[in-house]
Parts: sequence; structure tokens; C-alpha cells
Amino acid sequence: MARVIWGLATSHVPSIGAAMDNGKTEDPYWKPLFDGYGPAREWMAEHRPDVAVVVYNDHANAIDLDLVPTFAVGTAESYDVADEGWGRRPVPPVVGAPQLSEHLVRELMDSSFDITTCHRLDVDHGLTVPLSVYCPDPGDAWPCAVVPVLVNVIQYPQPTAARCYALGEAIGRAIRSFPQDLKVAVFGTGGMSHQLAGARAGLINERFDRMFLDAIEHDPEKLAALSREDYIAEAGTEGIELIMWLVMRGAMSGKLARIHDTYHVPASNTAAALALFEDLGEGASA
Amino acid sequence: MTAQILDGRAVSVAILDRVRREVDEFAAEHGRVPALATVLVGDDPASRTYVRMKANRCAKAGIDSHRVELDAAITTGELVSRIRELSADPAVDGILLQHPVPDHIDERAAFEAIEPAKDVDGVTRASFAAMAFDEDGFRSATPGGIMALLDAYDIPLPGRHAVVVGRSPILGRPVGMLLLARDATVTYCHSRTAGLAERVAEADIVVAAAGRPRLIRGEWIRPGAVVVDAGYAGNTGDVEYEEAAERAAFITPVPGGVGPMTIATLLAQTVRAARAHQTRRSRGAVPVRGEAMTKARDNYLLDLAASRQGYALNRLCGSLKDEENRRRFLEDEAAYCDAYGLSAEQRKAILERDWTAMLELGGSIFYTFKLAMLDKKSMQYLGGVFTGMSAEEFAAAMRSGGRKFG
Repeated sequence: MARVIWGLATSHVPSIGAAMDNGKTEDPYWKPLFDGYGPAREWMAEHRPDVAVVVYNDHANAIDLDLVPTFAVGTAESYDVADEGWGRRPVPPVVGAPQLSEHLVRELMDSSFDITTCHRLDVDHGLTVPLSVYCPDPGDAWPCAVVPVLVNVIQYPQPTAARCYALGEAIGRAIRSFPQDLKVAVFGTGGMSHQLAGARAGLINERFDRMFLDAIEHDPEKLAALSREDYIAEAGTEGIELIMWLVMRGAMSGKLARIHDTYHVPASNTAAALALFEDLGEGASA
Repeated sequence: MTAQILDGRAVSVAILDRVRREVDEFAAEHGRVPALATVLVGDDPASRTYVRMKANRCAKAGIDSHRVELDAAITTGELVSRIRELSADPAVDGILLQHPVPDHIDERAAFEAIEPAKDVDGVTRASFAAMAFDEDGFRSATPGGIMALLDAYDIPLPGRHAVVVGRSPILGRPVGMLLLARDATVTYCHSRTAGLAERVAEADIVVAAAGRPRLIRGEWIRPGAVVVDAGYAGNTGDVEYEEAAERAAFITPVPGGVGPMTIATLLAQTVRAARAHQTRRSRGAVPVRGEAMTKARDNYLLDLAASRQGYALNRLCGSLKDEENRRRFLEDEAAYCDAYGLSAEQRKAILERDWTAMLELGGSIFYTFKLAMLDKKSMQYLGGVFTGMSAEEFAAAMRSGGRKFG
């Protein structure tokens, strides 16, 4: 049977990808952030998953405002890297895991999550930047297959944090019921506090972010109980992306161990963070 | 008495004459005068007097002063939000928050609500950092005034031993750094310093900034030293004046020494802020009330009504992810807009790059950002547009920990 081996929460700011693509990770502006990734990257390199389930949002690239799925799962054999308007990132195409995708879609439907499926999906920085955070030098191919899971965080009303957490729990159960012997990592991406537009542009709320970084491990129910208005007020209009961390957290078994975390301001206009958790398995379920 | 008086009043008159001429030139060029907003919280009589003096000096220099008086019971959140409004107000060039504020208020939070480009009293972290790194920025007004006074009397600084008594973030600490930047050797003393008398006796230059009347005895002063007294308790300074004046070569009187220099520095910095503000406006980075650019609301949520309203605009911006569309857009922007069925207002906002109007008309930042990138404008540039800053100022605000609310 498949199992979740770890969960990674990480910001997916485009400029983090651009810093890697343009060899700027040693620049004084970027070095503290990438130094902060170091221990997590080393640990993940020793704990390679076969498949990564990456929970992210599209940013006006594969999904426009014609159709806005609340939750969607990519079901393709491969996914091209999107041109977001300034050329494609120089990273390998993403190889899918269509059998696992199919299984997830079916299991989620049976758990009353009415999932949109995507057979063609160009993946943008929301997915490729977290992959680069995991694996900075993929060469010709990423070291794992990927199942993209999309969450609408752009158009209001977004799904509730509680629903995201429940989706994560359903994804976790679905992964653990997949009959192949696969090691799976789950990525929850986006955040932390940031706001791009309006008079509150540039908002950073370190107090909220620190609370969230702690509670995502110890008290996810508390985070699931926050309203979308709470997220917008505290973490900014784009900080609501943090609900996607709860999908990752929900997919973990009862017991987990924090391997590493880091928090840095700013990455572009965002408070960037990473938190890595080892899944200690079903038997340890609380 | 032997010491020569460091006559802040006389020097400040000369500075204010210069400020007055600069204000006239500014008004002739831009059709308006610089504007300083003064914020007073509560009814402390001394603070009220200081604010009134500053307003009077503004009037004499031709600077428009805009007095904001707030009830002593105001919360930190309310004060921060009022100051933030002034920071965003295109009619305000400089902001002064009179301190101290009442005890229940987080003074640092209130100071940080001042936009660094308008921090003419030099109280924000950004100004402190710029001063500490010896970069362009606004100096804390009293330390800036002290330096101007020393310079007016050609007091040599390099290699000389300056002893600063006091370590407050807007007086003692910055004045020491400014002296250091001028190659003085600086010793900081404070309420816990052992052997204060001996330290002061070693000084070529004593800056008394402890806020404790007559803390520094005249007999401690080394003969021939320079004594700057920034004490401000009524008309009594931190130094025993008569005794010190017997020994010092130069000394500031209280009042009439440092005080007038503080106000002169504040006003000179206000004119500088107004010039920089005007330059940003002419570059279009600052939304100006009543002019073309739209002022941003706090938050823009892309709800279903906005999504409906902004559909054509977002569709146009989204289309720019395609290289061929980017080429066609640049070839004829107006024709491209027409092909996407934009409303007249949306068309105008796109063609004039009124980024805030795009949001008001249902635009989503994730879509409009594609247009910005086509213009080679960064998210920091857009952040600056929404908040009335230059891209550089916005990026600096992010580097210093981001913008705090509530």
C-alpha cells in the first residue's frame, strides 16, 4: 500500500523560483532564505518520495475566470510548465501519476468531495516553485511524479479552511488505500502573510505567521476554525493561500515530527516560510 | 564666564530664511506650498506648546501646517490608522507625531505608521537605519539640529572625543551615530554608567541628552570643551549652565540653543520631503487626489460581482500570457482593447496604466500583473503605486519587515 512519508509546507512566491533560475541564491537579499531551506533539503534528499501530491493554486495561467473549480485534481500523464506572461521557467516538464490521480478522484468523490478533473494543465509557479524548493537542481527530470491538486484561493468565496482540512484528511485516506507500494509526499503551498494590491499592499503579519507555523503542527483544528475573513484580515488578501497548508496537514497521519522550519521576510512582497514534517505512520495515530 | 554661546536661535533664523526662500521657489514651480501634518495626542500642556511653536514657525516659513488633535483616550490602533491615512494622503508632505504620547499607546507602532518618505522628524526605523548607515534619509530632528549647530560654528569633529549622555532612540543614540559618521570618537553614557563624572571630564564635546535637569555638573567639564545641552525640562537643561560656562569654550543656552535648531531641521526636512514627493508625483508613482490616478482602497476581493465587472479586463490581461498576443498588444494597444470589449473606463485604465482604477473596475492583481510585467514593472512598483511610494521605497519597506497593520 502507498503511504505518506512527509509533508512540506512552503511559500510559492514566483521570485523564489526566479532567484534559483538566475543564480541569485547567494545574493545577500536571497541567501538567508535559501540558507534556511538547507537542512530541510538535505533531509528530503535522503527521503525521496515516488510521487508528490502538490496542493497549489493556479494564478491566471491554466485557469481563467470562465470556469473556476473550487477543488481540482490533475489526471494527465504529464504537465507542461506554463508561460505566465514572461516566458517559461527553465525547469523540466512535470511527469504525472495518472493511476494515483484516478484513485484519488474516485476516493474523494466517494468521500463527498465533488472534484473537477484536469486532463490538460499547464502548471505555473504555484507548483514548480515548491518542487524547486524540494529539489533545487533537477537536471533533466524531477525526481518524482506529481499529482497536482488545485484549490481556488483567488475568487471569493474560497473554500473554508475547515473544508480544506477535511479534503486533506480524505486525500490522506485515499493515498493510504492505494494498492501500490508507493512513497508519497504531500506539499501544501502558498502564504504566508502577504497582500499584493490595495492600500494594505505590503502587509506582513509575523505574529499571525508564527502562530500559524506552530499551530499547523500542534493545533490544526484551531486554524481550520478561522473564517476566510479572518485569513484576509490577518494574513492579507493573498495570505488566504495558507488554507492550502491545511490540506497537506490533513493528509498526514495522526503522529508527525517536525524536521525543520524557517521563516523569512521578505521574498518579494511576501513572508516566506517552510515547514517540513515526517509522517510517523498510521500505527502512531493519535 | 568664558564660553562662547552656541546661539541656536540666531543660527535657526538663518536656516529658516533659507527655508523660506526654498518654499517660495517650490511654490512658484509647483503651484502649492509644502505641507506638514502635526499630530498631537492628548492635552499635555508642554506638548501642546511645542506643536503650537512648530505650527507658528511653519507659518513664518510659508509651510502649510495641518494640525491633527486627538483625544488622549485614543487606542494605538486608531492612532496608527489615522497616521496611516496621513501617510497615504497626497496633500501631506511630512508628518510629525509629537512625543511623548500617552502611556497606553505603543509609540513605536505609531511612529512606524509614518511613511518613511514623510518622516521629516526622523523617528521611523527606516530613518534610523538610513542615518546609521550614513545614507540619505531624514535625520531625527534634534540630532540633525545639533549637528547643524556645531557646523555653523565650525566646531571640528574628526578625531575628537564626544561623550553622549543619554541613549534614547530619537536623541542620544542617533546623535552619537551622526558624530561617529563625522569621525568623532564617541562614548555613550547613560543612567547606569559608572563614573559618569570621569567620563564627561574626558570629553572634547559633551552632548547632554539624558532629560535629567542639572545631571551634569559644571565642574566635570574639561576646560575648553564644547557643551551641547539637549535637556528640555522647562527652561532647565541637563547641565549646570553657569558653572559649565566658566570652563567650556562653547556652550548652548537653554532655552535658545538646541530647541530652535530642532524646529529649523524639521522644517528644512519638510521642504526636502515635499520636493521628493513632487518628483514621485510627476513620475506618476503617487496617486494624486483630483488628478488622473485613482486612490486605492484597503483590500480588493475578487468576488463574483467584481469577477463579472472585470471579466473583459481580466481576459485581456490574461491573454498576455501568450507571446503572440503580447506582440499584438504592443503593436496597437487601443485596437487590442477594442477587440476585448472593454468598457470605456476599463479601456482608459489600461491605456493610462492606472493600476488602481483597474482594480476598482474588477481587475484581479494576478491578471493585471501580466500587463505590468509586459511593461517591465515589478510587484514592488505596483505596491508603491497602491501605497503612494516609489518602487524603491516600497521594496525598502518590505526589506525592513513589511508593512504592519493593526
